[in-house]
Formats: sequence, C-alpha cells, structure tokens
Amino acid sequence: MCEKCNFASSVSLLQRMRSLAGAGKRIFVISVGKEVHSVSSNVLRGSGDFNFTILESDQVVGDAGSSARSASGSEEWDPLAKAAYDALVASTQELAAVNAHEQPVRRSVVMNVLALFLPGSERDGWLEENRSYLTNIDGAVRRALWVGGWVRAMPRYAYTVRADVKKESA
Amino acid sequence: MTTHTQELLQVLLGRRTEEGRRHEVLTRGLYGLELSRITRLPNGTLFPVLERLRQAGWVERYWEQDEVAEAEGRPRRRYFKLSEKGAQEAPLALAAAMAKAPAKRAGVRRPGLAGGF
Repeated sequence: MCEKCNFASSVSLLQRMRSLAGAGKRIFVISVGKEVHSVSSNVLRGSGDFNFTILESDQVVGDAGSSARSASGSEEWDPLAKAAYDALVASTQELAAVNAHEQPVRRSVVMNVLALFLPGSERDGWLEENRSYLTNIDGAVRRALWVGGWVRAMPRYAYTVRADVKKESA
Repeated sequence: MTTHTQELLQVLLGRRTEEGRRHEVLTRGLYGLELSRITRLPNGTLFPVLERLRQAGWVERYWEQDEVAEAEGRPRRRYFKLSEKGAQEAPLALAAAMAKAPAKRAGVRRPGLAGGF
C-alpha cells in the first residue's frame, strides 16, 4: 500500500482486467490514447484519456469510443468490452495517483556509454539494473557519485565479465 | 580469499544483518545497491567480486518480479543470493580464511592471489 496516495497499486487494476480476461484464456490489448499496453505483460500505465480499444487476441471486441457513444443508447456493444471499460474508468483516480507517485526512471548518458564496454548479452541487464538503483538513490550528488563509481569500476568489471564470456564460448 | 570477498560472503550469509532479516537475506537475497550500502565497498570492488562469485557458482542472480517493481513504479531490481553450492561451501571457506588471518597479522607474507577470488 502506498502511504502517500493510499492506493495499493496498478496491480489491482491488472488483476481486475485479468479476471475479466478469464484466467489468462484471453489476452486483451488496450490502447490508451496513443500508447498500446498488453494486460498480460503487467504494463498498464493509465492516462486521463480513455479513448481505448480492446482487442481479444487480434480481434477487436470493443471500442471505448463507440462504447461511450453507446451509453446514449445509440448502439449495442460487447459486454466484455463494457466490463473492461467500466473497470478502467473506475480506476481513473487510482491510476492518476499511481502516475503522480511513480518515480521517474533515471537514465544517464554516461551509463549508456559505459554499457558499451560490456558484452552484448550483459548490456541491457546491467543498464536496467543501474537505472533501478539510480531511481532509488536520493539526491543528484549521490546519483552522480554512483555513476562516477561506475566510471572507475567499469574497466575491472568489464574485464571480469568478458573473461567469463570468453571462457564459456571456448 | 580477499578480505573484501570475505566481507561480501558474510553479508550474503546474513551475518551482517539483524537476526529477524537473516532468513530473508538467505532466501530473497540482496540487490546491488543494498549490498553496496551494507558492505560500503566501492563499485569497482563489489561488482567484480560478485561476478567472480557468480562465475564460481557460489552466487546466483535473478530479476525481481515485474508486479513488485510495477507496484512501486520503478524499474526491476536484480537480486543476488548465495546458491546452494555457495551456502554449503562459503561458511567452510570463510572459516578457513579466518583461521589463516592471525598468521597474516603476525607478519607472515600472504602468498599470491592466484586461484583466489
């Protein structure tokens, strides 16, 4: 539970969407505004714009735009899409709270350059790992110290990692 | 075995954390920033040692579950914990290293680092 925004997490929304999806039998792809999210991939960041489309596998089963219009009684729409739409709308405040509280992912040009010293198989993992740590470190000075520490550490670390990669390929 | 490796192994064995968290350290492990804060080792020492321990099969690393990271709104962390092999062999190796320590203090020169971590 997040103490600041008093909301468990966007996971609860995902769980709701999953239950709608019928224990993983169906996969919804929801596009919120211009961004496309897959419920099954655990990535669903909301926005205030609920102009979304619900797809079941590759087939469109509902469209929120038309769903919204159907509320005025002009057309019928898929009940599954309606349920998903309701769940998403009901979560507007929760999502807004999560987004407001979400920590920005820290990216560093220096770290991207340092990653080039590592073999390709290790590069992405190392970058993601350090982005996470940079997000956790409070204060620009401390973050700069962490990056600086890696500037000094990388030759030795890269040598150690590469020594293992060579050994494995031999 | 260097003193830095010994220090890191002590931490991964939960000997540098309070009693209540020891089980958590052994089962879940610690992520790199936590290890850095506890051991106070610089990155240039900590991560190469971790990597060599991993290559030796004593330490395993894994990614945190997406749901947990997503719930906290940050990228995933990578955890490091002792493998089964490490949990068996590390205490013995540490004890052996500790037994040799008094000789070092008495002024006996240490042999080379070849074969060590």
